[in-house]
Amino acid sequence: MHLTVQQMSARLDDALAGASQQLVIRHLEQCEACRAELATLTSQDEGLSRALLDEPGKALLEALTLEIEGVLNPGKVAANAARISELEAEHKREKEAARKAQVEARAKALKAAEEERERLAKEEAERAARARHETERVERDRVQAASRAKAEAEAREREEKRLREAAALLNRAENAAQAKINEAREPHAQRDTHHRMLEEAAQSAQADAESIAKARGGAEARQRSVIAARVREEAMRAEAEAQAKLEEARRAREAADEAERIEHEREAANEAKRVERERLEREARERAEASEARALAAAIEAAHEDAKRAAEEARALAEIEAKARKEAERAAKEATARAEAEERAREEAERAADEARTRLEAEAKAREETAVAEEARVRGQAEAQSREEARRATQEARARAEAEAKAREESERVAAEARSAAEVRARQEAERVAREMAALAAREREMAELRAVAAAQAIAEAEMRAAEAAQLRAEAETRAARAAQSAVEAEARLMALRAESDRRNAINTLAAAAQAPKRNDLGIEPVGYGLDPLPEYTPARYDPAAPRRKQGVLPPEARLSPSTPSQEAQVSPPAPSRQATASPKAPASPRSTAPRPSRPRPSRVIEAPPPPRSSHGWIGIAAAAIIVLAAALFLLRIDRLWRFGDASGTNGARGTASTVAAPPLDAEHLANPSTSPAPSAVPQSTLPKLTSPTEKPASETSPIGLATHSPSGTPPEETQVRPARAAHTSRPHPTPLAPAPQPHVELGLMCGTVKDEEGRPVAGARVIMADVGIGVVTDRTGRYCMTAPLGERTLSVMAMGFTTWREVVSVSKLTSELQVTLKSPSPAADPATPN
Amino acid sequence: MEAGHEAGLLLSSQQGDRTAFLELVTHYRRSIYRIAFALTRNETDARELTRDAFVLAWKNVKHLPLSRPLYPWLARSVRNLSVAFRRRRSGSPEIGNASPNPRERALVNAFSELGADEQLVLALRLVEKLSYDDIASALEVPNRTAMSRLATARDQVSIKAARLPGGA
Repeated sequence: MHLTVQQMSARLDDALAGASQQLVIRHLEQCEACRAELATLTSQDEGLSRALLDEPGKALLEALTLEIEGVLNPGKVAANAARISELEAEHKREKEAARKAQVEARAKALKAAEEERERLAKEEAERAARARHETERVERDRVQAASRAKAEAEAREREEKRLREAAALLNRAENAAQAKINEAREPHAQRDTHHRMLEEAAQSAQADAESIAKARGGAEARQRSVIAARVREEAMRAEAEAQAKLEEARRAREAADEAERIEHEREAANEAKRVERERLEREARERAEASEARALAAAIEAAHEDAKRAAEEARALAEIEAKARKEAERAAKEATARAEAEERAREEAERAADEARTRLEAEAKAREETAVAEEARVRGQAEAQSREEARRATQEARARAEAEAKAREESERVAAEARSAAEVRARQEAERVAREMAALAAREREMAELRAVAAAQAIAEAEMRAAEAAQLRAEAETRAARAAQSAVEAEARLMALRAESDRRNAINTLAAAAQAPKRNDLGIEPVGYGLDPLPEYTPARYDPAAPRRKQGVLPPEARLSPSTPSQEAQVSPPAPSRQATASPKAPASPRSTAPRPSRPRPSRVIEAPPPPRSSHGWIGIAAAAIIVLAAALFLLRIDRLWRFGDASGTNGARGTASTVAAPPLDAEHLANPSTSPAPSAVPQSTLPKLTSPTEKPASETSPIGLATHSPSGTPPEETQVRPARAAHTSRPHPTPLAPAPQPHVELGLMCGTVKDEEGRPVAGARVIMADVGIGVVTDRTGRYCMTAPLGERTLSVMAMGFTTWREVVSVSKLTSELQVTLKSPSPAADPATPN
Repeated sequence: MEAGHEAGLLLSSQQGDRTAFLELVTHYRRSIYRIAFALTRNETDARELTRDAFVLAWKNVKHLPLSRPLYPWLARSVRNLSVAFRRRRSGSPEIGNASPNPRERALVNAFSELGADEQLVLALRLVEKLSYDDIASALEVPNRTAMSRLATARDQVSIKAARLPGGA
C-alpha cells in the first residue's frame, strides 16, 4: 500500500496538515518506493519550473504596456513606435547580458561542483579505506577469537580424557580392592563353617561317647573313653587347627579390613582430591568460560556493529557510487551528445574548410602558375589554421560542455541562492509596494480633499441656485399675492358696487312701492324723493361666461338681463361687444328674476330683484323679501370677502390656492428651469374659479365657487405636485448587479466585507441600498461592491440566521470601505424560543 | 493591490478612464506574461497573448464585476487565448522548448501534451508559486478541486515524460 498521487502532490507542496501529514510522513519513513517517487516528482517540478519560467525584463514589460496603450488609444501608436523599438533593443541587450551572466554562473557553479565532487570523492575514498581497515581488523579479531575458542575446546577435551582415564584407574583399583576384600572374607567364612562343624562333631562325639559308655561298660567304656579321648584329642587338634585357621582367618580378615580401610582412606583421599580437582576445574572452567563468553560476546557485538557500520557505509558508498555512476552516465550521455554536436560542428568546420580549400583551389587555379607554390603554402597555412581553429573550437566546446555539465550539478544550489535572493527581492518589493501604496493613499487623500472642495463648491452652487429659485418662488408668490390682492380688491369693489346697486335697487323698489299706491289710488305719476333711480344690477355684466352665452349657450335669464355699456366698461373690460339687451328702466321678466334661495347656485350669476307688485300687500311682502334677500346677499358677500381675505393671508387651511401655488423645488427643476410650472398659472389657481353648469370642475366647488378638498382628503394641487416629487424620488428598478453608470448621475463606489460576530465571512448576504433600489449579494469571502448615486443612503444587510443590519452611510466619489458585522438573533427575541 | 483600490480603478476604467486601466495593466502584466510564457514557451507568443488578454479585458471592461479581483479573469482569458492560439498554430513546429537538458526537454514536451486546465494549474503552481487557496481563487474552483487537478497534472507529466526519450 503506497501513497496516492494526491497525497504525494500535497506533500510536495507542503499542503498537508494534521493526521494526514503524520500518516504520510510515517509512510515515507518506511517506504523506499514512495520516497523515490516523491524525489522523482520533486525533480520533475524543479525541471518544469526551470523550463517554464521566463522572467520578463523591465524593457519588455514597458514595451508591452506601450503596445496595449496603442491599442487602447490608436492615436498614440505612432508616438509609441520609436519608444517600443528602443525598448525592444534594450530588451535584447538585457537578454544577452542575462545569458552571459547565466553562462558565467553556470561555469562558476560547475567549477565549484567539480571541487565539491572531488572533495566528496576524497572523503568517500577515505571513508571506504577506513571501513576496509575496520573490516579487516574485525575479521582478524574474529579469526583470533575462533582460534582461541578452538584451543580452549582442545584443552577441555584433553582434560576430560585425562579425567576419564583417572576414573578408569580408580574403577580398576576399586575392583581390585573389592576382590581382595572378597578374598579376605572367604577364609573367615570357611573358619566359621569349620568351627560350626567341629562343634557339631564334638557334640556328636560327646553324645556317642555318652551313649557308648552307657551301652558297653568298662572296657568298652575305656576303649570308648580312649577312643573318645583320641577323638577328643583329634577334636582338640582339629579345634586347634580350626583355632589356628580361625586365627589365620582373623588375621586375614584384619588384614583385609586394614586393606579395606586403607583402600577406603585412599578412596576418600582420591575422592576428596577428585572433588577438589573438579571444583577447581569447574571454577576455572567457569571463569574461563565466563571470560571467554564475555570476550566472545564483546567481540561478536563489536563485529556485528562493525559489520553493520561497514554495511551501512558500504551501502552509502554504493548509493553514492550509484549516484555518481548515474551522474557519470548522464554526464557521459550529455558529453556524448555534445561530442556528437562537436563532431557535427567539426564536420561542419571540415566541410567549411573543404569548401574554403575548394574555393582556394579554384582561386589558385585562376591565378597564375607562378603563384601556385605561394598559394599552396598559403592554402596549407589556412588549412592548418582552420584545423587548429576547429580543434580549438572542439576543445572549447568540450570544455564548455563539461562546464555546463558541472554547472547543472551546482544549479540547484544556485537556484536556492536565487530563491533566497528572490525572497529578499520580494520583501524589498513588498516594502516598495507598501511605500507606493502609502503614496497612493496620500494621493487619494489629496484627491479626496480636492473632491471635497469641489463638492463644497457644488454645494455652494446648489445653494445659490436654491436661493435663486427661492427668490423666484418668492417673486412668484409676491406676484400671486399681488394678483390675489388685486382680485380681492376688485372683488371688494365689485361687492361694494353690488351692495350699492342692491341698496339702490332696494331704495328704488321702496320708492316704487311707496309711489305705487299713490298712482294707483290718485292716478298721479309717482314722484321720487329727489333721487334718480339707479341702474339695476345685471348679472350678465360680471358673468365670465358671457361670450359663450353670446354664442348661443347662455341661459334664458341671462339673455333677458339688462346691462349698460358704462357699467360693463367698469367691471368687464375684455367684453366690449357685450351689449345690454334690456333698458335700465325696463322691468325684468318675472321668469328670469324669480328668486331661488333654497337651491345652490351653479354659478355666480346674481339674479335681478323681483318686479314691484301691483298690490300693497304683495308689494310690502316683496319689499320685505327683497330687503331680506339683499341683506342675505350682503352678508354672503361679506362672508366671501372674509374668506378671500383669509385665503390671501397666511392661514392656508381654508384657502388652498395660496398654499399649494408654489411648485416643489427639486434638483430637476433647478437643473432645468424650463420645466418649472409657469408663474402665470399660479394666480389663476389662486382666483376663485367661476364655473358654468356645462363645465365639469376638476374638484368639488363650494356654492360660492371656492375650491375645496377632494373627497379623498388629498388636495388636488398635491395630486398635481406629486408627479414632480415622484420624479425626483422615483426609485430605479432594482437590479441584481450594479446598474450601468448613467452619464448625468454622479456615482460613487462602496465596497466592504460582511462578517459574523466571530469574524468569519458571510457569503450570500444581501446588501441593499433601499432608497435607490440597488442590491448586491456577497461572494464567498463576504466581499461586495456596489455603485450608487452620491449622498447619504440607507444601507441594509440581510442574511439567513442573522439580524438585519441597517445604517445610514455616505456614498462619495472615492471608494468607501464599509465592514459590516452581522449579529445572531438573541434567543429572547425569538418568539419560538420558550422562556 | 488593495481590493478597494483595484475596484476603484476598474470603476474608472468602466467610465472610460484609460489611465486607470493602464495602471491595472502595469500591475498585472508581469504575472500574466509569465503564465502566457509557460503556456506557449515562446517569448513572442507570450507577448502577443498578454497583449490580447489585456485588450480583451478593455473591450469587456463594462461587464467585469467590481467585487472580484481582475487576476482570475485575466488568467482564464490567457488560458482561452492560448487554446485558440494553439489551434491556430497547429501543424507548425514548436518554436520554444530549446532546453539543452534532455530531461527538461522531455518534461516540457510532456507538459505541452496536457490539457489547457492542467497546464494552467501547473503554471500557477510552478511558475507563479501560488498556494492552493490562491489557485482555487484564481480558477474559481473549490480548494479540493485545485489540489486534485494539480496532482493529476503532475501524474500525467510524469507518465508522458517517461515515454519520451530522456524523460526516464
